[in-house]
Amino acid sequence: MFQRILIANRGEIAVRVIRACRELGIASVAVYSDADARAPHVLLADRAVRIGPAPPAESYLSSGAILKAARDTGADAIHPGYGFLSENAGFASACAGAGVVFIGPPARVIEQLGSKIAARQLAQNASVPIVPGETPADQSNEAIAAAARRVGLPVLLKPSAGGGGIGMKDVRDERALIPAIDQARREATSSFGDGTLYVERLVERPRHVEIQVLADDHGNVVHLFERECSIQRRHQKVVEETPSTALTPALRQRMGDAAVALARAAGYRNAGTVEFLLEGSGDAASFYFLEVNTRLQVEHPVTEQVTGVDLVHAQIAVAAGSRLPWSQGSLTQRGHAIEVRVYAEDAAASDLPQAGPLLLYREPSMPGIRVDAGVAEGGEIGIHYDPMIAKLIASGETRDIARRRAVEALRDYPILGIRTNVSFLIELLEHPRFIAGDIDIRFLDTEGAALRARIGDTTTPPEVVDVAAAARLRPSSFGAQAEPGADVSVDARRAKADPWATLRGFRG
Amino acid sequence: MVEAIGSGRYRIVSDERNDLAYAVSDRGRTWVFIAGRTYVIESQDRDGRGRPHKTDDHLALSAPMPATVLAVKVAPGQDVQTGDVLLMLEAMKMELPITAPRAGRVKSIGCREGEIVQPGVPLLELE
Repeated sequence: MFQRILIANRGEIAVRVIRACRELGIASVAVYSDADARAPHVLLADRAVRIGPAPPAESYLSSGAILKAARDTGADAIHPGYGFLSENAGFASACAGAGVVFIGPPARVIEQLGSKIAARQLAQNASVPIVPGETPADQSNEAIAAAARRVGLPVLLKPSAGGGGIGMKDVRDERALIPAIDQARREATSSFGDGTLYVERLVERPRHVEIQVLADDHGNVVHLFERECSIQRRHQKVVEETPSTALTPALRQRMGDAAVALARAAGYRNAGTVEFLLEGSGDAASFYFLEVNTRLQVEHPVTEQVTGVDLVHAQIAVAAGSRLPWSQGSLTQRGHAIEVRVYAEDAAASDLPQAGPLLLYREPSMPGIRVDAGVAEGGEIGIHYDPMIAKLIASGETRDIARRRAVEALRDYPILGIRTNVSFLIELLEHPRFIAGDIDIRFLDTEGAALRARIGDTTTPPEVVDVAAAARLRPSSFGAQAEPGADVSVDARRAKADPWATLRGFRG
Repeated sequence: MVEAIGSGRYRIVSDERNDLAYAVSDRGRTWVFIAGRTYVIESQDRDGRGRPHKTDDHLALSAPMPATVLAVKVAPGQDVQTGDVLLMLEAMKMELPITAPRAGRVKSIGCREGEIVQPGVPLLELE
């Protein structure tokens, strides 16, 4: 087993991994940029090493500085967390070159699965379904139209170059085909300088369902069931849960088998996630391979809550050469878990990310609630990193209990000093379609505006005015004045009469 | 009635029901949290952040949040139309375009590429 692990990350995931190291009796080394000198992950680790200034390119993405920190502290392994260097094949091989174990798959596996084309080819070879499609060698309108007919309408026309949805066209009927090809080609040419088009079958109202896999050095590969992550916007997930409301035992087994087959074909090691698009639900549903994330996922806690497996412990054990302690048959799902991501953002203003101080920050504590956070009261959400403040994970015997617990916990999760999406998350969890499990990856596109309208209500209840008036009487905030009662009761009439304060529109 | 019970917590007592609120006041802005909703109450002496500061005939634009200036897209003296991108900012892995709220001429530019700018500080003036 390892003696000392360096955690090449920050925020909640660094805290999560450092805690796992402590539980396993392994010393931990945090790294930090100038912006994070007093961050919780730095305070929690046994040692901490400064690796550079705030911009990620000069600190958390600096493999040289991180490897030097590992050498200087005698770390024998590096856990990359997610993001930053976690899916960087060059970093994984640099670790191997420096004699430090990279806690993740081998560099060649990261490289192969990081290439969309190579990953798709691998999936095909492993008989894992992919979205049917082709890039016609002949790019004339007629040839592309013929390809669309072969694939079968409805189709999605995509530029071969580029991404971000530019130039993508849904085509549902024959008459629209040629005009759509012309338009897609024009947009692709003007945006990417390359008008080559790719034709893909249109997957209707797809869900994002992914399978967690774990593989050791001894030929054992298991899956830990699914996570549904359909609630997302701009390719950023907001709510994740397991089990998925769309899966039946037979479909779950088919998807799990496909993920394991792909992991075997790739020579996979450690924890990974195979992402699929799911069309339909139940035994008749179809699923299509999207990509493999060769790292621990942000949403890994929901899997931990229903399987009882600690994925970070497992990652460390496998990286140290241990065998997986379970067979596929010994793994089960029990109950339900829902994770919501608490972001520093203004949900009422197109989710504009927010930076600022955490003047007051109190995590809820109640049955079935886990909060993974890397912030603390008195800290700050800075401009250099991801705006995620924390992940709140609710578990229960049923989906509805987990959902209600998440709502109750969010109602008791004050974060002041910065705007957050807490009230947006509550509205989302209370949406009839979410309650019914009727979700797909367009959910926030279609329902987002209505959810925003619900939190954009501009009436301020009178009790809020009263509380604000009372709080203003103690501008030094709460620290030194814990004595109850005393001189601070204020009634509504006096508060409203205060000419110094006027109300502005609020956002929840 | 509102009763402070310490550590930023306030008890609201009414005939119908009691509630627990959290509140903190900081630099003219008071934050209140009650049952999953956050309210931000600004005192009069504070200008709205990120909103254009309008004085007679010119308009100063500022960043909605602390951000890095990725690109300055215009030059002083240049005429711009409503919606033109004047500056591109970046914060938290997101690009934030600052666009012209109306047609006009760029009077001055108060930032340069690569600079980290704070909210409320004029970055560009239109006349």
